[in-house]
Amino acid sequence: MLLQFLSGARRVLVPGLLCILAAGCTTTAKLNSFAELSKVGIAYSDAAGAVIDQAADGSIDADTATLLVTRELEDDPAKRRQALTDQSKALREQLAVFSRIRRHQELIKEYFVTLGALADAGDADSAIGSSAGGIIAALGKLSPGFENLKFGDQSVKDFTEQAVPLLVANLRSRALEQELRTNGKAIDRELLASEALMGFLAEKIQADDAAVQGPREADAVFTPYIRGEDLPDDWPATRQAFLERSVDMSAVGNAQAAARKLRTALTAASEGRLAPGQLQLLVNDLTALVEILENVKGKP
Amino acid sequence: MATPGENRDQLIRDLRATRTQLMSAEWLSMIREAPKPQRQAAADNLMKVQLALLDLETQALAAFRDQLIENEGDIAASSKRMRMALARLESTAKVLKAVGDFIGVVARVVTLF
Repeated sequence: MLLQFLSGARRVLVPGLLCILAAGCTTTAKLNSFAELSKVGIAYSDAAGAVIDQAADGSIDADTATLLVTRELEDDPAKRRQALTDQSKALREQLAVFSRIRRHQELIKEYFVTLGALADAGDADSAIGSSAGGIIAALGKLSPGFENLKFGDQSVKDFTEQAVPLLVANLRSRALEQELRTNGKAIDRELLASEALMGFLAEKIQADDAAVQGPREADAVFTPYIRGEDLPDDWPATRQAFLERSVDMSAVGNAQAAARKLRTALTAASEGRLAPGQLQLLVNDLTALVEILENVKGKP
Repeated sequence: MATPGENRDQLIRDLRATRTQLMSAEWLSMIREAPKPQRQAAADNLMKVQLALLDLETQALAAFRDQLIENEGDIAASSKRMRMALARLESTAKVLKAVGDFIGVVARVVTLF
């Protein structure tokens, strides 16, 4: 009876399974794109987090630099106290906002981590295929005829072990596409806001850095040069470092471009037209950005 | 006509440019040599500019924060749905294994008789 049922089912199942196998490559390619997208999303979240941290630290540094200059130029203790009190209060308020934005960034990272877990099954799908193959093998013990059943050159067990993971992969791919269609607008809004925020922070980081570097440059470059004393041996190199730093800082603006590219990539992925090259370029941008931020901390 | 947000952003840029000027090496090398009243006036200006800048930047950041928080519900829900889809796939594997084990037991019992 089981064999009769399976013989009938074979006429229906074989074309279906062949279609699944044929579509398997497309599904795998889509899942790979989603997995890469997840990696880029995580890299972006990390880079954006680094930008936010740098902006918050830079804000403190710039404020401290202005207080030091104020103290140098103003010798009235009451005015010094007022400057320190008022600026500290205003800065604390700003840092509280930074802190909330930073927490939000963790939520976005979690989103991309989850997207990656759903896209990148690892061995999970083949485990499901093995389990399905195990059922077929067990059924074969119940009915020896079933064990010999063939689809083309392959046994039903072999066929099941290949087709089931592809079916599961297809379910993953559909779940991801559905999710991006359902929630694509929220992610798009998120990245639009993030893009504008990165632009704002890039300008802030550069402006705060300029405020920090001004007094340092005055002490290390201007004062020795103007006073007519012997210049230190490293004076030309010191001057060069200050001149080149402003060029380095302009690259911080890449954060905004990275957000825009990630948004484009997400839209492309939800429409099934994501080109792998798009992602590699984005990874390069994000890596460069994090390197720039790390370098900025130590110079000059 | 510019929006209040655009006016604020322009003002922030202007204040940053002013602060950069007041903190520049060129300006500091001059003002340090200036008479006391000029130095005090420069210090007073710098403090006012810095305070105004901090306040306006905080306002701008708060606006970004509000936009981002607005999306948090949808993004958290999306993450939850994806986790549930993942859990369903994992439970599929468990069910298949359980069924396979059960049929295996049945097969062993049947072969005994």
